[in-house]
Amino acid sequence: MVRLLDVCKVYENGTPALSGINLKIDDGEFVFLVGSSASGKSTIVKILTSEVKMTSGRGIVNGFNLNRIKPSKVPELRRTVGVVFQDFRLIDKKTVYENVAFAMRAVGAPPRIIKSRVPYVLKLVGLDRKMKSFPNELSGGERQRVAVARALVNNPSMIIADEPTGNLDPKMSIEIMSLLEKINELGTTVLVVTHERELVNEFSKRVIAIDSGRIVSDRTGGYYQNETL
Amino acid sequence: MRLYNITYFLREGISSIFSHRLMSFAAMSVITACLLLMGSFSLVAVNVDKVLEDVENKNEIVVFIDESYTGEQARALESEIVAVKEVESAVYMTKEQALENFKKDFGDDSGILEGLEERNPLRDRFTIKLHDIHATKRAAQALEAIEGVANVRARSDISDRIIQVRDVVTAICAVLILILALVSVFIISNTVNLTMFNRREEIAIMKMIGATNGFVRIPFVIEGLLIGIAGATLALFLQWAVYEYVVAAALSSISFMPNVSFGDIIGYILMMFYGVGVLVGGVGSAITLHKFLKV
Repeated sequence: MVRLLDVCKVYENGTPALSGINLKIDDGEFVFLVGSSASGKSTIVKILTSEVKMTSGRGIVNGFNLNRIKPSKVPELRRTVGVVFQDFRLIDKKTVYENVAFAMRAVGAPPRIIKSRVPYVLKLVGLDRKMKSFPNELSGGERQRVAVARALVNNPSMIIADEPTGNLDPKMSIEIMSLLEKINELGTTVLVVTHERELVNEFSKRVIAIDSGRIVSDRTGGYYQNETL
Repeated sequence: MRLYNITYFLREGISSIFSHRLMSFAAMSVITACLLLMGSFSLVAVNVDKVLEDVENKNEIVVFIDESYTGEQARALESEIVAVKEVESAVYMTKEQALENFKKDFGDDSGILEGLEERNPLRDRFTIKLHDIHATKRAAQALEAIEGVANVRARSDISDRIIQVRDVVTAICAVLILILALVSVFIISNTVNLTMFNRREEIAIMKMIGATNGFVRIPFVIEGLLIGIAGATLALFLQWAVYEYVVAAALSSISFMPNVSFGDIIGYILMMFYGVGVLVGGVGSAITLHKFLKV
């Protein structure tokens, strides 16, 4: 669940990134956040994961008040939000299994639970046969699926995918999107940040368009149309 | 902390040493090199101190007894002499023994001393060792005041010079060791910094998936500790080998030079090496990590 109210962000060097953002995403939704590069999409993701602080406005993510959250509580917030990045961000020295198990250890899960949950999640993303492989032995699509498995393994209430298909070919992109759709059907809120119009238009979902730090359109079941930008 | 976490942290710390072999090796080498330098200077200091102490010990005071005293009377003065509080020990020597020694010193030329046995010009004497060379002057005065003592030979000028040299050497070594320690900490913290920079991505990933600072930090600290301990151990053995080699070489050319055996100071070296190793390895990585955790 996300609520942003009149959120503005100006970076320390004076660059304005967001102004007057109002955003409401309910539990169980599937939302595309679209816009050209430097439109402010990534800043929204960073605000939602408390990586940067908003300059003004108010915000709540999964019950955490972004304005008042203590640094010691930020890890707890991040555990409720699984993030998938464009560049996968896997640890190269760990196997697929370890990359995913690692996220569970980080939240203090007992080994017994890790042993049963990791194979289950890897099966869900279709990588149960590559558990012992290292990231550099996988294709881009497979790596992204490991990242999705990692984001998913702690049972977050929301998954944020920041340009998850940016490094993938169209076929793999559709695959990853379908995987995210499947995850959404199982009850997890999904927010996909992207600038790939064709991909968005393959799926009939809620599309929020942002341009120069402002929301310019928000249509449920809508399309990413060039003329709205 | 739960047990499975401890085993996880240990496993993680150890495996990360091997998966980042090059950096671990670099960090360990730097620690070893710095410790070796510090250790070598300490050993030089300890040995110089020992040499000077030896010179000090040779700087004896000789107390000559009045000729009017018989041998027994002279010997009886021993209790009065050792009662002087600066005196550690007093060894009695008759004038006949003194003459024998004197002859020995002349070796082949001892012929010129012949005939002196009948009218021995030497006096019965005590050779005195002091507890503290600083007290030479005071001891000499106290000994002269004893009835029956004809003369006291004390080279307080030499003892003053030895004290001066020793104080200067000690001060120089202390300053050098301190500078080396500071340089070591600087170099090592830079190495740790570089290691962390190398792995900032990994740290950022951990933070993004909701790991607490402690969870990220502990394996790094364990890794740093182990590297510090390994560096200290290696330095200890190298120091030992180098020291034994240098001492053997020195002894073969200057046989009378006194030296401190490694076994005598191993406790001190152990404490210094492991103390510094653990401190810079563990604490160093914990502190350096701090800035990479701000994600």
